[in-house]
Amino acid sequence: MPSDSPIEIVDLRREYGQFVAVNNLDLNIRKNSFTGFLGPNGAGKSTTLKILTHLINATSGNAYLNGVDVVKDPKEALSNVGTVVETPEFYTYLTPIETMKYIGEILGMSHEAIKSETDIILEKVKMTEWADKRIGTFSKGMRQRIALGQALMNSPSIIILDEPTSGLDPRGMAETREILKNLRNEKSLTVLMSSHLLYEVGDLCDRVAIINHGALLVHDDIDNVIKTDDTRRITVKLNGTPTQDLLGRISALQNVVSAERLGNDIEIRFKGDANAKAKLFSDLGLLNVGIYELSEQGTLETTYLNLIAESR
Amino acid sequence: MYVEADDLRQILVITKNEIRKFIRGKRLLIYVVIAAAMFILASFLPYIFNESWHSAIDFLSTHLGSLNILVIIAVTLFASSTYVSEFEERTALILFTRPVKKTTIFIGKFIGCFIMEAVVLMGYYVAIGVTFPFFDDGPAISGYIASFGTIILFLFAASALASVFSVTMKKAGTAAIMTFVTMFLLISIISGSIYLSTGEMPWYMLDYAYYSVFLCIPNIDNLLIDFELVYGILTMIMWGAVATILSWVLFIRKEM
Repeated sequence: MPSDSPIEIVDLRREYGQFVAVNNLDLNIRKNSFTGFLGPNGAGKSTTLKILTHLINATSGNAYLNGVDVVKDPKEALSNVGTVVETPEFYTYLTPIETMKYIGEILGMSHEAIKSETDIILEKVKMTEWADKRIGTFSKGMRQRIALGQALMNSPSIIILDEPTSGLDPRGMAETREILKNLRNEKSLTVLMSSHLLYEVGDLCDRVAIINHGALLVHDDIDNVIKTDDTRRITVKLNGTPTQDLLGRISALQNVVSAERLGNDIEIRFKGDANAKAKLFSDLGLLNVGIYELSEQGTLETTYLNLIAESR
Repeated sequence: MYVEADDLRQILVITKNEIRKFIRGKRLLIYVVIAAAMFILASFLPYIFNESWHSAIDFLSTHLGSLNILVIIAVTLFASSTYVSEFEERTALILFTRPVKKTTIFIGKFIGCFIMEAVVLMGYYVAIGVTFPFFDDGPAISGYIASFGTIILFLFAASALASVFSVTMKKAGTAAIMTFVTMFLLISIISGSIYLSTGEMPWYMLDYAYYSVFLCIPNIDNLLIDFELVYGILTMIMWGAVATILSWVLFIRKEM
């Protein structure tokens, strides 16, 4: 029975022979949230999103979009959904205006609505200047902006994005991220976005769902996910090469879980809050071993790595 | 397989886009150039050898004899690529994630392709037709329209066969080669083997069914064809229907 979640995944399973890509996954995406969908390669993210967008079928289970089962009635289920799956290609013989018109006509929009929405969307994705140029001549970044634009046609209530910045150069990534940031202001929009880039998810999303081996590990507000895990990772850079003796001395410090050598650096895992971190920094200084840089990895990244490590 | 009013509207949208794809691409130009070259060669080659056409029937039967090759070229250029290109070029990630049934996409693309193939074929037929007044027996030729209808049936069967390759292959190039080899060689080899081993004309094979195009024209009597026109027509319908259903089933089951 579907709930009021715009995206609801119930006991979803997809097998490829002996390999289970999605393992009885249950996931309800909160209305009007921007949810990051995380997991290592092969965790089942893309498979899940492809089932949601009807590119592949589920072995069993259900996936509801706005309460309609995408397995049973994909046309109705996808009627109010915009998608960017992987890095789509466009009909190179069309211009952005013609692409929007094609999508709009498939969606059953009137010619007036198509025209007015196309103008707004192309402005939003900063493609107005190239509106009447053939897409075949566009860079990958420009095509991805068109991909985001076409996903916005007919003002969908759900947007599903599968690694929207994957394969883009730094400029393309920044441009795409800028558009996604603006999407957060659309209060009536529910976005589910898979990504490998944790800083991107931390920057854009208010909630996160982490999966591994096709099963859900955690799904909550990003702040809550980070709070549940108090293990932090600090990278220490020092003049000279870390010795076993030094690693042992650091491991023995208060709150330190482990200290490992990473090249000429040391990675310290420790538990504790900001006060514990301050105490650690002070203790490291007292060691007097020529530390010239201390940097903490992103807390979402730390939490993610810990969750994935525990689920192995 | 059911189609609603909204599906019909979407079929039209997809058909229009398919036609636009071919109009803006190079394939249509290649197809038109080949068709024009074939017409000019078949029409004027006798004059190069100081010969001339004795009658409109001779002229017509020569052209009809080479039109099956034009059909094979047409389906190799258009139908063999129409589905596979959506997957190979990853445009399916845009179209298939939209609220549109796969059946709708299948039909829309098939029709778009078929129209493009048929239009040039029709141009060829018209070009033949306009020469009739130059021959004494030209105005007396009957069954010309029926012959065109029959070649359209042949085109339907050939397109459907090409669609099977288009939905099963991963590369458009492979689908095109498979289509051409099957239509041009394999079917002929199988038909020839059957004919040699049984001594009977395999009217149920697609290449033999093409002779129906001649059978529509009563005055053409220089062919040793010993089957009824209706058999040829039924053969083409059967090949077309079976191949269309097969390619449709494979298409809706195909995943990205």
